[in-house]
Amino acid sequence: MRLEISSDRVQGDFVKRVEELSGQDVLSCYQCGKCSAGCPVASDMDILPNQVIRLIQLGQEDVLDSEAIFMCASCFTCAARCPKGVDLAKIMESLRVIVLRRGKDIIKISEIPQEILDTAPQQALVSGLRKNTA
Amino acid sequence: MRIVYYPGCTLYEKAKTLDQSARLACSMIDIELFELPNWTCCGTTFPLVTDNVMNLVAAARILANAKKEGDRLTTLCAFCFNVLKRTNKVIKEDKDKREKLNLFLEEDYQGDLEVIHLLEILRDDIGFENLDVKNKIALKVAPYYGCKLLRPFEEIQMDDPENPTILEDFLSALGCEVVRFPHKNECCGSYLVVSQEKTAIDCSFSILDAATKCNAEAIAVSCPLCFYNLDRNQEEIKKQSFGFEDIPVFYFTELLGIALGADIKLEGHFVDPYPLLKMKNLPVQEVRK
Repeated sequence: MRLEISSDRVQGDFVKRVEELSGQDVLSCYQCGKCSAGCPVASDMDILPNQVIRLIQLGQEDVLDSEAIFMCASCFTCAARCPKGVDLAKIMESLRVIVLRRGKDIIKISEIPQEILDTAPQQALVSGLRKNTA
Repeated sequence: MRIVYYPGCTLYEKAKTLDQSARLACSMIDIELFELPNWTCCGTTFPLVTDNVMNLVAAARILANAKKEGDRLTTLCAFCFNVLKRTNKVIKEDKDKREKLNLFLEEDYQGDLEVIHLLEILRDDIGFENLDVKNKIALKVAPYYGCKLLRPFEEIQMDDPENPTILEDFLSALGCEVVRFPHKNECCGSYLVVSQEKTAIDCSFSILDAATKCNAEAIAVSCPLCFYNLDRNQEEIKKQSFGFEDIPVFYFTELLGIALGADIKLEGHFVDPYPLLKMKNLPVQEVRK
């Protein structure tokens, strides 16, 4: 992947917006990788959790296109283990929210298998739709 | 002891057995679960972005109504517990959001309710050691916590988020042989089962695999979604993983009820729990599907 890194991007609106939405200091992350090491779904992600935060630090808005942000199940393991006290779950949610507020749906109800609609607990359906639909 | 009880949607539908076994068990240990009148859905997920006040409304309404009935609110579903406890803290500590929510709901709620999980009542008010165990649950049980019951610790404060012991202590009191296994606080895949089913099945498999490798005969959970993922996904796991054997999953309230001698019906289980219970001579009423 080719990245264009400039001070304009690093100090740009995207980083500020993520910090504002998440309430987290994105630049305090020093890339130790504990979040990725503990993440239960990291193996299925296109980029790792620590890479998500690194791309934000560099002002790379492309991070919004990654599948990883919608693979995060908000289990807060990363937040519990971060030595710098960065709540990555909140940062992941702020990225999801930026995408969803543009009116994009990640899943369609019609594509959820009928067996899951019939048997899954209500909390799974409500959470799944809240996290994945505009 | 009377306590306001919020069941939540799942316990009225897909996890009836969690609700019913809890009510039965509590009636035997002098806990009166007073069901909150006119309750609604809690919203299921706590909004993680700072400007999302709308998703706090449902939980705030429940909390404001509960305060009119008592000083403490208990719930069983880990999602409801997580949302209600975190929202309560927001209302207590964030003046702006408190005012906004109160204006919207036409309430004057200050966040002074205590939100507690039934496990905490059993530990702190009753005491696990005071449970009158009539039928010892002589099973090797792996306690499984999942995420929402423990994290984030700063807000939930129920037990150590990395090495919790509340379920272990509870299960020991019921006579279980507690199986210590490394995946007790790993995520089960949660609601990804709706959007990324394969990932959720992989998560469940790693937990089930760890539990069986540590010789567990059963798994105990508190959350209906953990239950669903760990129980329901076994059918798919069996197709994919040669040699994988079924392991029954129980709600902690089912085991409590059986131990106390309540007439517990185990409903909504995907993996049949009866053969194991019969083998151990535990008295349960069999429910035919």
